[in-house]
Amino acid sequence: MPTIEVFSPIGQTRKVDDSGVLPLPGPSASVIGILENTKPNARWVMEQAARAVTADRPEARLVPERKNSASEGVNEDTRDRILAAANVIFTGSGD
Amino acid sequence: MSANVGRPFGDHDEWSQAPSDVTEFLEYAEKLGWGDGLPLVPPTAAAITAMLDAAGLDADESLGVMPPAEGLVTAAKVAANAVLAGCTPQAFPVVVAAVQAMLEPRFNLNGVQSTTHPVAPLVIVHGPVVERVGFNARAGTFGPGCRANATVGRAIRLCLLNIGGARPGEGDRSTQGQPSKYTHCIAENAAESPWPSYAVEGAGLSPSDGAVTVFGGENPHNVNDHVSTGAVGILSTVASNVAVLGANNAHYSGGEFFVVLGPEHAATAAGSGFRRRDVQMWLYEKARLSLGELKRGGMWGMQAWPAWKDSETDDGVRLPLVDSPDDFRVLVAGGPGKHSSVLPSFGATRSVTRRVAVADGQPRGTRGT
Repeated sequence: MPTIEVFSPIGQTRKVDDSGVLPLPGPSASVIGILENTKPNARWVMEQAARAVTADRPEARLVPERKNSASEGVNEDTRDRILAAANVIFTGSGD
Repeated sequence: MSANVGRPFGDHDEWSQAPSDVTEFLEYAEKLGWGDGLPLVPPTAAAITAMLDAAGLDADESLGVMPPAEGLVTAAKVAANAVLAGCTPQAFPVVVAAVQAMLEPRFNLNGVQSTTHPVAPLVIVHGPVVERVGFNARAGTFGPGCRANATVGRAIRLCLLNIGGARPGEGDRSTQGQPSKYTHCIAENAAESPWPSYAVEGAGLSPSDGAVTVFGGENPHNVNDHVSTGAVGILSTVASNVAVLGANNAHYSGGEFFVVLGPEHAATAAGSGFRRRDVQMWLYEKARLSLGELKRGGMWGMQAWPAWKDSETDDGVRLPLVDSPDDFRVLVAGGPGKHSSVLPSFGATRSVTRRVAVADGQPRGTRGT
């Protein structure tokens, strides 16, 4: 079968440097941030997930923040606020 | 990147031996996930090099990173996708400029790529490059039949698929998609526009510049008006396509509308003394929805709009669907007939116009713009 040499059009992806990533706080997390994306029921779903994760720790506190819109990444003010307040943050993949 | 003997660029594992038979090559490419479902042209070194030469770009030159897969956008990858799409080298600098425009932060390509909305980038070509490369700015500009329009638009889509990872149901979460996700490229019909070119008046470029505008929006919504003999009549019909509850603009007023007037509608509006600015102002004032209508559905409750709108309590007050008259982006394209188009926005995106640099009468890429 005659062949030709071709170049892949698929983009290479960056190698993620995860050396600075902190380990998950795990059972010690006491403040759960919820970054909801404004869509109907988003906050309810995330709160349910957070409550399930912290079911054995009734003292755990939820800190909700709302993005400006579901279509954009979180702005810096909101991001910094929730980062300062929470040990763990529940959010969407875009953020 | 590692050196390759006999391979002019890229890593060793980016090259492969593919069947040269047309049908077998298509099956090969589809198995590797390279395509959009349509036949493809093999991206050989010679074909890619011809593209790069036409744009004056080095193969490894980085143009950025494309979401959501965070694919590295090198000139060679863009060229490979342009070859797949069937582009001519002469059109390649337009593809490069469009890719660079999409990567500007205000375009919000991550949102455009991954939303459930059907948004597809529209590429609009302006200036001397339209005629030089052979884009169709006249009858059927949104439709088939012109290689430049078809393949430049398709090259953009293949970049979004192959570099950005916007596979339907994966990186691209669009609920239904839209046909313009195959190809979406038109050209401005400056010769029949009663107003200065969009790129000149709207983006501040020189008439001698070739340019592209990218806009993240919906398919064109037809505006049929065979009877109006003045600007108010034509624009009233346009406004009826703008002020709809189901468009993202209704509740995301940070977006734009592209109003692509057919030459006859534009001439009718201009005949009433309307400049482009008058068209924008008229639509801003008249193409509105009442607060009561906005509460009926769409994205009510998750609206992203200025605080002053939230202060309104009268359901009868009529609210604009954009933040500024400038957000009605007006240009002329198409041929004879009494039709125009309105393209609503994805909402969380802004159009970008970028110059296609020209040297010695030929497009030479976009470095330095």
